[in-house]
Amino acid sequence: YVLRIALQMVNSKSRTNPLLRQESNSTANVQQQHRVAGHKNGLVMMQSQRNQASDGMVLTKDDAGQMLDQGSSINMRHASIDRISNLPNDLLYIIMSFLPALELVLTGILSTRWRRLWTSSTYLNIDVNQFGRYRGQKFCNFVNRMLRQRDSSSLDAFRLHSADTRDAGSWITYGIRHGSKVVLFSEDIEREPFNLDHGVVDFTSRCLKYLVLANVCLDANVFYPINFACPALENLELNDSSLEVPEISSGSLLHLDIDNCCLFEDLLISSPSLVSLCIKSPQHRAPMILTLPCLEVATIILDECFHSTEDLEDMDEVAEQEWGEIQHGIVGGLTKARSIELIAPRRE
Amino acid sequence: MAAATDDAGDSNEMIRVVSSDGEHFEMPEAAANLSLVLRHMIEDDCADAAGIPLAVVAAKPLAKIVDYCTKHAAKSSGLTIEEAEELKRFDAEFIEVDTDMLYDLLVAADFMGVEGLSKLAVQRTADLIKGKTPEQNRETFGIVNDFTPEEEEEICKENEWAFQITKPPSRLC
Repeated sequence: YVLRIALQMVNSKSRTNPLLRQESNSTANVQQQHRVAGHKNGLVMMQSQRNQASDGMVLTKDDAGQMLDQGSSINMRHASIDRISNLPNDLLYIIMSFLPALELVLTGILSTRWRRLWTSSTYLNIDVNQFGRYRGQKFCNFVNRMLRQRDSSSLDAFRLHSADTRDAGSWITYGIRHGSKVVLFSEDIEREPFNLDHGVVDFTSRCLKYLVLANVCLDANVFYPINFACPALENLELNDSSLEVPEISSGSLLHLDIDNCCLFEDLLISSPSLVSLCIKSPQHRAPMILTLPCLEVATIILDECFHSTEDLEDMDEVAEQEWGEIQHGIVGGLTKARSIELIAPRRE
Repeated sequence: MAAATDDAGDSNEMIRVVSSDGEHFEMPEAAANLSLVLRHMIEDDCADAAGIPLAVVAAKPLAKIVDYCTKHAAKSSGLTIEEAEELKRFDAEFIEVDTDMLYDLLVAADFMGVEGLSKLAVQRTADLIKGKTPEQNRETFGIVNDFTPEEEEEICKENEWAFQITKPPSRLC
């Protein structure tokens, strides 16, 4: 579901206003807000997982086998004639796009009609939480075998939620190499940020339009292709991550969201086509923003942790100087925006 | 007449459609516009008193689709949060149908290009599959296990990796 919605967003020509994606009390058109709320349900799944909220895709049953035995909560009269198998492949693929990896694979043992269908499915939705107590080596084997059994069909969307799985890097690369327009990767929030090693993960892609990364470590090397080798990239969301990235300069990027990320070095945002920019709760420092000529909407939210980090207490004086500069750096780059929301904590 | 006309939109123009089995239905133009196919027909002035013939949509699913479009067209712009919630409830009740009707709606919504209904039906189908064993899914959808014993054995070997996560269905392996 997440994948489909993300893809719909990518495919939809009218861009939604990212301001509306927050719980803002704005008096914006309610209909639009409703529509965006639908998107939000899908796209902000990292947060919803963190909050343990069920979004329909995150099956949290402890035992996957047990889970499947229990059946879904929907009860209905059983069909006497098989009609679903007569649906055209295209419709079956769309239905399959809503299925998590395990259930997708299991459609292959329904009947001869279904046996190889899943191997051409263009959506992959792999979530470690679906695997209950098999989340270790068996999860790894499952995903590796599944990817090997897929035919060479290109992907539309690839979503992976993993927890301390070393192979995750190569799976992301699989998703990207197979032409996914939408790639969403999140490492379980309970785990350490997943290190995206540039020797394993290569973001180079002519197709990638929408990239969401959550709870990862990104350095300059792995980020380089995002700036220079993703000519179709329009949306980039970085959540709960550690960034050692000097610059976000992608020429095609329209929408950038950086939420709750640790900036371990100065970050300059200079993507010239940016239409919307949202930076929430940056840690250690705030990014610097070059004047962005196309910018329409900017949201910058600095919260308490921004300057009350105990580690930084000794550097209070320095921090104070930086504070001034940072504000200047942010606001200076936003001069072209039509709408700016800037929220900063009150200084004690 | 199956069309719900109680809360139609501004357009007073009624569009007539004819099902594959010859039944006539009426809906406001705004409702018909939710179908890509009907919208194009209306734009091309093909909507007349005789009604637009829909050769592959039978009366039963067409009645549902007319209901769906009429409801959604009446509530399409400037929704309040309550109205949006109500529409969501309508959708949830609307799609509580048996697999035969679900199949008809999938095919008809796809044919007529009613995007919202297509999504709703696809989501419902996926929800029915989710969280079930293959055997339960065969039962729900009437899918016949047509594998030969040899094929079954082959599938069991081939899917050993998947059966490590979930135990194989009793009729296989």
